[in-house]
Amino acid sequence: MGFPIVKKEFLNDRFFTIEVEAPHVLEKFSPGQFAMLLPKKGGEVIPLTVFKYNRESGTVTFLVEIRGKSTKELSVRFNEGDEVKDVIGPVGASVSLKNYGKVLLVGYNYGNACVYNLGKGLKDAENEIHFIAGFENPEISITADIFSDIADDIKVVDNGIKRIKEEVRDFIDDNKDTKLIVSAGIPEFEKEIEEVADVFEIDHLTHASAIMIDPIGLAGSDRVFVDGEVKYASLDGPWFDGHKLDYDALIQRNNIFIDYEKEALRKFEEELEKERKRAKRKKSV
Amino acid sequence: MAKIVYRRHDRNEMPLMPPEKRKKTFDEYAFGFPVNVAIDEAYRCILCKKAPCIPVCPAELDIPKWIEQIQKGNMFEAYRIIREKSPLGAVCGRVCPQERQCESNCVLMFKDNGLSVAIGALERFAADTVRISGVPFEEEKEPDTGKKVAVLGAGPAGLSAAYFLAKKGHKVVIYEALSEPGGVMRYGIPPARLDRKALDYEIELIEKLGVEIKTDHIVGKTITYEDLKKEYDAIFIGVGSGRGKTIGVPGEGLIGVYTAIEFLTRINLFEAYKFPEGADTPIPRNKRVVVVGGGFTAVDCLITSLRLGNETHLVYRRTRETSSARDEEWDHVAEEGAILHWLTQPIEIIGNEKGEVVGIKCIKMELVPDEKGGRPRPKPVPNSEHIIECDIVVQAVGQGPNPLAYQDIPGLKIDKWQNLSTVDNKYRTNVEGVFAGGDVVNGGDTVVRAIRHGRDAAEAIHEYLMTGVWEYEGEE
Ligand SMILES: Cc1cc2nc3c(=O)[nH]c(=O)nc-3n(C[C@H](O)[C@H](O)[C@H](O)COP(=O)(O)OP(=O)(O)OC[C@H]3O[C@@H](n4cnc5c(N)ncnc54)[C@H](O)[C@@H]3O)c2cc1C
Ligand SMILES: Cc1cc2nc3c(=O)[nH]c(=O)nc-3n(C[C@H](O)[C@H](O)[C@H](O)COP(=O)(O)OP(=O)(O)OC[C@H]3O[C@@H](n4cnc5c(N)ncnc54)[C@H](O)[C@@H]3O)c2cc1C
Ligand code: SF4
Repeated sequence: MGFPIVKKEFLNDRFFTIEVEAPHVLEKFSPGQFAMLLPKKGGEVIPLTVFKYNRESGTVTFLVEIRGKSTKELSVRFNEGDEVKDVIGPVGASVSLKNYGKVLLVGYNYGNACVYNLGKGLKDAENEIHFIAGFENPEISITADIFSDIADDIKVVDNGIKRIKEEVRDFIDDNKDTKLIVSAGIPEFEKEIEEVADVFEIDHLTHASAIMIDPIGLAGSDRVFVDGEVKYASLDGPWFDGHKLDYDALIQRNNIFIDYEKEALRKFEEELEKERKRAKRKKSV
Repeated sequence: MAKIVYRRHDRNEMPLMPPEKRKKTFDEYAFGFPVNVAIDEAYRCILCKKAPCIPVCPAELDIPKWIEQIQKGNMFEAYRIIREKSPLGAVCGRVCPQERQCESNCVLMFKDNGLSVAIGALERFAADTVRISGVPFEEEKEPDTGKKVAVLGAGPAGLSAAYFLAKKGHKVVIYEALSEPGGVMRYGIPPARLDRKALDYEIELIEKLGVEIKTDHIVGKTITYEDLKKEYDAIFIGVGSGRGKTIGVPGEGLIGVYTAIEFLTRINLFEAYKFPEGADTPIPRNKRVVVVGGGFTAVDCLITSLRLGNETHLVYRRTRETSSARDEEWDHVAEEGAILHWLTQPIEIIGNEKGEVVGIKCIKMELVPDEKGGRPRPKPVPNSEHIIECDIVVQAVGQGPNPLAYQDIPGLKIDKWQNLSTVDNKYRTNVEGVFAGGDVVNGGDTVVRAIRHGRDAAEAIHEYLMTGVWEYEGEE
């Protein structure tokens, strides 16, 4: 028994949304939580934020960035009408959100989905929400419409981490009454945002994208260091106090399998290339 | 009728794949008995009237009764008798430490040539024969009682409870957080020791009785105690105590340091040994690996590491004799090339500037008598520090509690280890309608003990459901 894909849509070459029927994930879902997708037997766990959802139809939409083999395969091999093998969730601690006042959400690539998720809870708590949707480059940037329902004001910055950081600094300069920054993306990015939050002494909630293989912290692959203490991103997180998360340790751990991941992607792309050629040949026959 | 003449011959051993071959495959390395050997072995059993093997089997299987059926060639009947007490005979026949249980007390050890009947191998044989025959195995259950029970966790404790409850006519739903049922039997014990076909078959038989297994459901997240209480008449907690522990030395954050559970889960649950062609979860191969520990888990990490082509070391602070794994298993891994460092204690994991493991610093130990009369204690030998060069360290030093499923049950008494040893002799917790068994109660034991807990708890649950009487007899 799998979970049917009801809709899949490419936004550009890097991003797509995928809507899956998984009502069990929604019954207890609260902002801050995510799900784990296992597309097929022999597949790899892909942790994905619950981006949008519909409690009535029991469907969850994920906003996915294609980064390596697993996300690439999900984008090309799984289509409307197909099933993914497992959707586990909700995973992670729910974050208790209050009314802070003025809040800045800042995401980087897939991290925009993560801050959007938390932003929805912040919106419900009647915060004033400003959103900087950051992207690596203009080719992969997506329109702000997809995030705009939760933001009072949204700006797309699509030329890399440095520019996004400057934009955040400028925003805070102009909005000294900002009470909370929420950031998500790769830890290299979050570390830069923390520098700003630290200088301006603003609360910072950040997202630990640690490597996860099980949803209940059995394996401990997702251990992160918060204020010197070991925490499990799938249990205690993924949201942590941005002033206390050890970004360097997280960056180090995220690179553990980098050579293997590259190899897997290369092999998969070769496979796709072969298929393309074969299809072409068939056509020309 | 002619009297059966008992032959006095040596115990039959299961054939093993040769070490050179078996360390290249994740397939099971012990081949089961062929029929003739099984029957031959069964005839060694003298079918004791007051069989001393029974009380030392934690599941108290009726051993001579089913061995007698194997003698007669009635394998289905043998399996049926096993299943009166345990739904996981194919598993237990493979993974139980029989030499410390049923096979430690066989009369042949005292009467005959000192070698017990190969009870485990016969149990496995009966179960496998039924499975491989392809003939559907039918089991009866009592009429529907209209009662519903939620079982939390699909490890041996939960599966056993579910099986015996279903046989009593109750509707059972198992909630399992992972994508596959089986608990440690799925993600911990390597397929080299436990063929997944055998495990899958026995889980299917449980489902055939009407038990529903909801994988991908995290109790405490996907569904809470409050929801379960509304929907079910009783709850059995069998979530184990399986969170991988670390050794607590400097360097644990380095690249290349794994808990045993991560190492094993990647391979056993996600089939990382097939990476990159057949699976997407990576695991390093052809490296130098040091496994720290001395129990079941350490052995399983060695078996697994060797099969990945790694140079594989074990460091353990005690001796082989005082370790908790089986003697035979140390022989097996040594034959396969594992380098075993006894009386060796790790004190630090060493990394390079890139944060990668390059070695593990250890100190030699000696065993000294314990002043309090306990088992001898390891004590460091001065100036014996040394470094074993390696790329990977696997910490197989035990598992800790995982209270996610029960931490929010109002008023539930949880012990100081965060487990539920607070249950009474009927596996009742102090909260009405909530029972618990398996590793979550005893903090880490064996598959067969978990099965026994599940069975006894099922009986207590049945009694509660039919009478409504609840008298918690633990300490208040
Ligand atoms: C809590 C959480 C929420 C996330 N939400 C989203 C989301 O909404 N949308 C989205 O596009 N991405 C999200 N991610 C990131 C996403 O899970 C990874 O990009 C994905 O697993 C990469 O898999 P891959 O095989 O395509 O790439 P790979 O080439 O395998 O990996 C690329 C990078 O992703 C990370 N990664 C790899 N495997 C895992 C793993 N099992 N768990 C976590 N990280 C891993 C590593 O840092 C790696 O360097 C989230 C991650 C976490 C932890
Ligand atoms: C590597 C290893 C090797 C071993 N080898 C042997 C051996 O050879 N022989 C032997 O007899 N014993 C062995 N043991 C011990 C044996 O496996 C355990 O004693 C036994 O599995 C305990 O059974 P259990 O059902 O209590 O728990 P588990 O097997 O741990 O199962 C618990 C289940 O509950 C699930 N769960 C946990 N939390 C939740 C939640 N919140 N919601 C839903 N589900 C949840 C888990 O995912 C798991 O599937 C070994 C243990 C390990 C770790
Ligand atoms: S003790 Fe040995 S001989 Fe006696 S019944 Fe048990 S297995 Fe057979």
